[in-house]
Amino acid sequence: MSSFATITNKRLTGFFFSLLLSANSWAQTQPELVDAWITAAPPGSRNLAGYFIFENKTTNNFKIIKVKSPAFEKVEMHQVSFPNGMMRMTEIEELALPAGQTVAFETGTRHLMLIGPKHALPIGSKVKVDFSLNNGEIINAQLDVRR
Amino acid sequence: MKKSKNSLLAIIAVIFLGITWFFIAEEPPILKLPNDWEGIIIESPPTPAPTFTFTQHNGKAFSEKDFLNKWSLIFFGYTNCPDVCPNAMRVFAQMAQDPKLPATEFIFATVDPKRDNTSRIAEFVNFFGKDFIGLTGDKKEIDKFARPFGVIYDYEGDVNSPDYIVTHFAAIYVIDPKARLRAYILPPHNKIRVQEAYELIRNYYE
Repeated sequence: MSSFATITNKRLTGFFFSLLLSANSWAQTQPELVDAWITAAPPGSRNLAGYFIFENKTTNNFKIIKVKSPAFEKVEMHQVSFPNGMMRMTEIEELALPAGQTVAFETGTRHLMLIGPKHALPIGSKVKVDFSLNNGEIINAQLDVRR
Repeated sequence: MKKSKNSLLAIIAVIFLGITWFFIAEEPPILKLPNDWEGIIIESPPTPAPTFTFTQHNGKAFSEKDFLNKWSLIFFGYTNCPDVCPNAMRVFAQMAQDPKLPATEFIFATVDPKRDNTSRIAEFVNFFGKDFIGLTGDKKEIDKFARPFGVIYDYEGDVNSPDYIVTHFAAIYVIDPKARLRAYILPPHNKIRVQEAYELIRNYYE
């Protein structure tokens, strides 16, 4: 009987502790994604591009250290450059989001490379993408598929 | 002896004058673009398209003769490209829908024939425009075509995996109705910039 009470107690403590944590993360706002979308691609495309603007309105510096989506095998952040007119893509391992600044992912600069779609993504559908921050938090984003 | 030497010199002079006249008569002074227009390169004199044979997305052959009697815009890329190639195709699609644009052939040519067979190319171009032409073919033929136009490309990563990247020259090429490369427009591309440059070039050299 007493052991049951202890477990309940532990559970309760855990519950309140997590409540406290989530309350804390509510207060400490995260960077946000604005105008987030994925380009509708021809059928059979293995690579799709995602575009958005990161707005870090907080007073903290953040880094994106990992991106994943249940709709894709793999997600990477890519930097595009045009040395002598050549299109070159390089992976961004960690993306810095300095306090008070915005970072744009737009064609010809940066994009989210979404590799290996697990199902068809028709125009108008929404795709869940999770961005892991260096503080352990996750930004849960919804990207609209459009042309 | 002296006489034949003189006539040889005369023949050379005539040939030389003929060539000079040909270029002066045929080739107007190079089009001067506004100073703030970067990344638009005019070929003067224009570079003739080399002899090549490609396969169109509908299975028909395509050679340099298919450029004749029309203006064409052509982009070299690969269908697995996530950003720059679909963006160039979106620019083509927006231009094709513009009623003010004079008749233009829009072409996408692959530099990744291993993955881009005719059916893949067809899916790709049909998605962007119903009249667009997609080209694929033998790597040797692609090189015959791409090299004189300066289309450099390279495969990065494991070419036996489905996910290798192709680094490639990403300009939009303007081909004139005599099947000659007239200009190229470097990235980044958007509809307004590409169309303004193209129409200016076309109006001047037409």
